[in-house]
Amino acid sequence: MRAKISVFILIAVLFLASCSDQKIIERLGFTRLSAFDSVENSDDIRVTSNIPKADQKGRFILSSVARTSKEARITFSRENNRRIVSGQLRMVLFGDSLAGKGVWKHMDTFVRDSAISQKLFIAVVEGNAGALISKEYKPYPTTSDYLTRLVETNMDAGLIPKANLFTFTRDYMNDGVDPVAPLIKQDAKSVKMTGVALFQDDRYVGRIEQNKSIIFSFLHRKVTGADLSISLDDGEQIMLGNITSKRKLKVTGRSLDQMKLSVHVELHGSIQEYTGDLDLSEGANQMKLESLMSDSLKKTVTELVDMFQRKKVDPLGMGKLIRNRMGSYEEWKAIDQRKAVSEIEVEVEAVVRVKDYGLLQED
Amino acid sequence: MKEKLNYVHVAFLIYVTQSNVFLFSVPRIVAENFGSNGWIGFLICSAAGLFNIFLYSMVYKLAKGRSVFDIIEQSMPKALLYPVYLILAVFWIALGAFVGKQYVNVLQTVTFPTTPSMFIYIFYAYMLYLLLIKNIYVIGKIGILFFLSTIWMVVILVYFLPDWSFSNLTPFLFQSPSVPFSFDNWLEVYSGFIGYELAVFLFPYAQQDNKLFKGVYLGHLLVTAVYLSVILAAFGFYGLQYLQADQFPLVDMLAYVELSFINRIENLLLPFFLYKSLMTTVMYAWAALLMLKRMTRKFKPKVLEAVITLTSIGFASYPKLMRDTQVLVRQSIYVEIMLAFTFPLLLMMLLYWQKLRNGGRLHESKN
Amino acid sequence: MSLFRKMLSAIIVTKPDHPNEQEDETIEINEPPSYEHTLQEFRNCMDFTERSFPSNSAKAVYLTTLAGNDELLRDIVGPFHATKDDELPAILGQAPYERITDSKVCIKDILSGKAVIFYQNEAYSVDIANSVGRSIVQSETETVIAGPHDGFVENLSQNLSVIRKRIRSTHLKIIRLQVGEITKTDVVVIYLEDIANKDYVDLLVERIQSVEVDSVFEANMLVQLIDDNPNSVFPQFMTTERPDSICSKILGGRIACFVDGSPTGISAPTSFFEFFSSPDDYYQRWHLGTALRLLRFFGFIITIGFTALYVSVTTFHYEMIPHTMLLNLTESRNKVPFPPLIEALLMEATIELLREAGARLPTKIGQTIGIVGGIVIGQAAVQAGFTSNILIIAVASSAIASFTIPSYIMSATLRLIRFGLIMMAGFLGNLGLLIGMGILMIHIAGVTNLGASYLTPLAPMNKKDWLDTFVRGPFAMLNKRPSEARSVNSTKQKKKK
Repeated sequence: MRAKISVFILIAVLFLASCSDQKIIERLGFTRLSAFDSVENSDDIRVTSNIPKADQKGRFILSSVARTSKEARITFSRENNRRIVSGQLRMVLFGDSLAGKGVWKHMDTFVRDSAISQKLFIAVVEGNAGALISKEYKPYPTTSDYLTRLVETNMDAGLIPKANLFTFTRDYMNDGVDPVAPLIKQDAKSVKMTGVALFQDDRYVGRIEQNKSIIFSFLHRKVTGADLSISLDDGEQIMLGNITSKRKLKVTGRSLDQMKLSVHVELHGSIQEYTGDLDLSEGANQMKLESLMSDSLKKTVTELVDMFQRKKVDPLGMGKLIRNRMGSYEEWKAIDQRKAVSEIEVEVEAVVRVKDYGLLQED
Repeated sequence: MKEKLNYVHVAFLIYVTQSNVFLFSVPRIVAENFGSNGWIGFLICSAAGLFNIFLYSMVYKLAKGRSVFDIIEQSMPKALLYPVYLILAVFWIALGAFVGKQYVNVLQTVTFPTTPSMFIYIFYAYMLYLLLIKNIYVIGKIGILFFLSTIWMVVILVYFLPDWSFSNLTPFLFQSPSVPFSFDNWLEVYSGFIGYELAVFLFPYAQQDNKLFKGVYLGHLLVTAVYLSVILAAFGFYGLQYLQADQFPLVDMLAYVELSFINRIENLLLPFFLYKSLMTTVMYAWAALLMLKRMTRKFKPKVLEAVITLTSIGFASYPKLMRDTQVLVRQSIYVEIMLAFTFPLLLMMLLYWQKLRNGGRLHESKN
Repeated sequence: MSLFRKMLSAIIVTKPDHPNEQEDETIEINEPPSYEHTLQEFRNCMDFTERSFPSNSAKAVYLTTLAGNDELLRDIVGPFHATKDDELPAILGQAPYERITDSKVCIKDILSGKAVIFYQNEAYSVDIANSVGRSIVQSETETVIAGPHDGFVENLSQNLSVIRKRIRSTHLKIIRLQVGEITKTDVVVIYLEDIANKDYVDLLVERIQSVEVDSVFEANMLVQLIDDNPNSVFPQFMTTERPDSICSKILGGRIACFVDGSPTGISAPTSFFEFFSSPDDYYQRWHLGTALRLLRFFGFIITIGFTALYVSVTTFHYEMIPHTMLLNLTESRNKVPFPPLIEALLMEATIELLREAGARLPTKIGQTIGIVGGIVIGQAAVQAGFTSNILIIAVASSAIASFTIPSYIMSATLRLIRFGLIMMAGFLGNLGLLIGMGILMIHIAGVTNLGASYLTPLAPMNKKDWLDTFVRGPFAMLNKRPSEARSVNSTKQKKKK
């Protein structure tokens, strides 16, 4: 008898529980893309959301001005016949003017909300982010798929750094490193990746141009499978393909004035295009080519690091390295960290090694 | 039952008793209380736990396998002891209930946020009841099953290797904790190890080959290893400041895992921790059951278990918000830590006194 | 006041009841068998025949429906036809004629197919039963690809002869018991002395003897009467129709049991994992055997969890769906008027209906219905917007996975569990699914079989047994008998040098 009562209670509880938490999928509208732009003369933002339709042929674009993104979502719910949820959010774009003011307060909601994945892509748009995601780009597939695939493919090829919500939050919250994000721009018929956005804490302060962004990737992390085009001093072009890169950043010295940062970048690749005259079947010529490429690389890397130091940004984590060399944590906290990073002496070493020369033996 | 607990069973049982909802927040607690490289402090706490277990093993040797109740009741009047039993039993039921409630709260930050937490807790309590009405041998078997269901998740930590960076650990020791330094820090980190003191009730149920405490040590070391790997992974993955800001690092780490054919498996993985939390509640409730049974034998078989279950539901419904639950859990665990340390000392004193009274000879084992 | 007392008495143990008075055991008087009494007992039985012989005063009685012609000729007509009265005692004193002194035994013997010969106030019985039944063919529910294709039949002595042929040892002991007040069915317990555990044998015999029912027709009925946990959904005794299976279990130290009239053999003590092993594993190479076993465990997980996972994901956890599938799934679910839980339950119920219907139909029609039901109805249901096609895949793969489990009874149990898990998943999502599995695990851990744990070798953990439970180790490594049999002699082969 007791067993029957308790089973009855359990079944009753079962039926009652979670009626409010049901999220049956055909009744939901999944936001795939979200864009934030600043609104003139106020602290509000314009939030635009791209919600694909179930028949995969169209999408809803919902846009409104609000103080925070969740407030905007409430506004959207009033318009749409489905419940708008953000659990399937894939990418968030910030307009560059908003990014210049600081993005953390808008990203805070993404970190707090447990339904949003930490692998959310982040990007800065040159121009108006809302306009970018509102347009359909034929013949590419739907905008949400197109953009996310674009970012993924470029990340895998090493053209842009791996930037998602997790890396951004981690680099923002930890001292000694600043976050980065890819930079994209809307074109007449497509969307282009135009470089890397550099952040100082959470404000967008500078950029790396498209042609240098792959070199930045070599500095930022290990890259495999990238392609690099180097133009030599005498006007020749070399295309190095299937590159695997290695990088090492080291700080030597114990006290602040003695410290030196040495940056070592090494590339291994195969030559896929060469417009010059050197006969590549000879060993001496190969080594000459390698040293030419190394010089070119070293020059670009030095330029990049100089730029970082000038703009007082630290995407490579130089601050972390300095911190780990300091005698104690109090010392690190006591100094002006940005100044230390921007004034440290940097020594760059770049090595290019060619694995093979392709199928053509001589000119 | 004629079956007795093997030391391997004991090891797994202690492991699932010690491992509970604390695992979700332990990297943050270590980072807050100890600062950088706080996992070293965690190891020190584990060593303190080993020392405590050592005290218990001395009691076991002196007691020669007698039940703890026999030892105590031999020298102290029952009228004095029964109120103590009752208070302890109620306390343990409450502790188990709070731990369970905290698990439900953590779960609800990720899934089922609006369901009344008591609805989930009722199922939890039902499983508690089902386990209590079985004897300790079956509970040991279930401990093994639950252990196997959850241990495979340690493999998931490998997923974080590409993003794990040694420099995030920093070479500094115990720098910049976010709470001021005090004894409280050690207590809070030590709360992860609570559970081994229930081994003292296993004395009469273990195989009489003196390997009981080998199992307890093993369980404790296993818990240390698992917690340590989670802490290390979190430290290298998140970096100190981020870790101090993150409420439940393990939940977020699980949320980060994404496989190609299925996204976001965290809402599938989180309920597995229910099993670990359940075993903690069950073992404390079982200890309470032993106390109550010792006091009176007049009740029909399943009544006491039902009473305990209902009391547990009552305790769990008291805290409504997450912060209330956390405070209650923390306070109860502090009391429990004190109990865990003082109990073997009391028992040893008692045993010595009994030895003296009997002229250097202890009672023979009643088994 | 009395209500309070009733509640109190429900929870508090009162003084122990009066000890059971010893029931008066009426001592049965052994009546000597008498011809008239026998005729009286068997009145109105048209098959009861009495036969007298011209040259002597003996009379033979038997049931023609049970007697075999050859045996009749050989044992009754032949010897008695021409012999004289004074030669009879000599014949009757030898085998196969047995003297009976109890009339109850006399009646029982006639009912068992023996003939009773009354001669000068004495009775002798001789066995002339004809074995009637089908010939030995492979069981339809348990087939193997490479292996012996014989199976048990309904006749007990044929079954025993199949076993005796395989195990030629004097250690093989066969104990005969009787169950069923009216049917008086023969039940035999078989074990290898000095290898099987005596406690288990005694326990099993005691259990069988304590069964008090009218009738037992099938071994599967018997197991439900003698098991430890009658309220559990899980089968606790292993039942099989294959002789090689039963023999290997006997050799492993387990105890086998047969019921006359049933082609199923029982073996005890059983563990949960035994239900997942098929004789096929041993007849193929160990790599294949291992892979197949692992496949079956995988199939087990799929069959109980896949549909439930679908329900919980589409109802509560949309974040788990991969991006590429999400819109497809939403679109296909768009047309369905029911929430996912109801949809899943409807489809599962339909499959169960199809399966049950297919089991009742004669084979020729059954196959057509299977194809029609499976393909056409499924397709039509999707197009009509009755279900989504992903659910059809989930339900179909669950159904197929459930057939990989060799034991039919266990797979039926698992189908039932699947419904329970679907319900839990439909109301509480993944949490409900895991709570359901937790309750299941708690339940299984408490099941015992003759006192042995149902979950050996997982809990209590015994790593040496894992070589034959979860994988199928090479024969050179399988040196010991399974631990749950608690065999007295646990080495079955020595290590090769």
